[in-house]
Amino acid sequence: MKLSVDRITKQYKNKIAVDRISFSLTEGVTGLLGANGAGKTTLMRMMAGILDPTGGEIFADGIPVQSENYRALLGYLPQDFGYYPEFTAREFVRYIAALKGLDKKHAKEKTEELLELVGLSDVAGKKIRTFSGGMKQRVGIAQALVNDPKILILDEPTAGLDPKERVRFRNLIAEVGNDTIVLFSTHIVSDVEHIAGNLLMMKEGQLIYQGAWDEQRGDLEQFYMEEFE
Amino acid sequence: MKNNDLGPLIREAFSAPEPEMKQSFLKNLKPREVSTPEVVLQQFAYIRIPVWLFAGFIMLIVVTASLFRFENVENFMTVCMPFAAAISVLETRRSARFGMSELEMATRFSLRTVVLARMTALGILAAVELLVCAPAIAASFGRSLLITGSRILIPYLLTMVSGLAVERSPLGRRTGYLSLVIAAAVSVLVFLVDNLDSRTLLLYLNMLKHWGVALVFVLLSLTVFEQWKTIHHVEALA
Repeated sequence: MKLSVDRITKQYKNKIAVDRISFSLTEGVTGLLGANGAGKTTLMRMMAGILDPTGGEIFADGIPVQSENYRALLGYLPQDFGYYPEFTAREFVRYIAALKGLDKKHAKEKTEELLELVGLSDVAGKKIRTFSGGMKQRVGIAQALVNDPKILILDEPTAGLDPKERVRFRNLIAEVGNDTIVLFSTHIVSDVEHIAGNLLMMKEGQLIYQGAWDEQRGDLEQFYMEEFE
Repeated sequence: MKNNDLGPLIREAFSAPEPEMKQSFLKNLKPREVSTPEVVLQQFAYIRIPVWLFAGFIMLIVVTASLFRFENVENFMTVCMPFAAAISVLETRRSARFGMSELEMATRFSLRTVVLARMTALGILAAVELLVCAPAIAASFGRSLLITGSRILIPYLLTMVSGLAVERSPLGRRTGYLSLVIAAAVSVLVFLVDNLDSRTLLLYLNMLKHWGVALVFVLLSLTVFEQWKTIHHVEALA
């Protein structure tokens, strides 16, 4: 599968949040690096089909981002997400599974499998409002994977995770990335270094680097610090 | 060796191999078709318990009171209906209120479809309330079904129309529960019409006799229009 982003632009009044960005992604993990306000979230929201671009197009194997067929391929974890207060972790993942068109039996099986995978099976029946930030984030990751997505977009997925959870998450994403297009944004260079074979770096709405990190350019963290500080 | 002993040995010798490329196979399956009624039914399952309880409470009280011919049952019903409408209106903003919009927008169905399904489910619930309560009241007190139906529906629709418009406004989005204030206002108005003096009530009933159905039709059209506007703007307002 090929995910193509073609001259995508988002303008808010007199501010250009994303400025004519083009790239294409195939199966594997791509890290999206950039400082706050670089346009990462705006780009990801457009790629998830929840924000209309001012210009440009996004396709997955010719399927436009606005279509139901595209959304059927998608798993998405927003930077901040809420939950209905009455939901347990299990109910939350099943609700998203239902909205993604999974039948009840499949949704039930997949929910249990994913809650096990993210280490929440023992608290699956507890209300999400009693969870810590890291646990909520793990529920978010589970819901993003519930439909076996071909495109997985994760906005700051490691935020709120402790170091142990972060390592576990990296391993999970690396595994998912074997046969899925995974794009995840982060501030943390080490997250990208460990699992992302491909790199997109954004600054002021524009891409300043794309592709695998070229070791000849030196240390990625050093490059990042120089660019963003 | 007995035949019974052979089974486990054969299973051991010829055990099924681990599935290869299982995930790739699953990913290549075409997503199943989901019909609109299925989405509506799905949303029925997620209507909150207090909403069911409120609807059940109204129906139970009205049917029981009608059976025992308690005179004030119709007034009770007309005063309660604005709150049933407010609950439906509040459901349209539920995703935004709890920060679920972005997740729901990125699922297979757009947020518009989800909200439309939710409103349809709640509309069906309100219709059931009306279909149970109006005939019960009309039959118990020997009143016209059309007038009784209009009396029940007008406060409901009035709250729906104004509630939907207000919830879309910046003030409505900021406060979050303005449609409950509207419901209270409509409720008080209905209570005053019913109880202020007998002349006002007679005038109102007379008006309903001649214009009740037309008024319901106008309010119903306005409600559909406001619902369309809410659904049309739901993603922009999320």
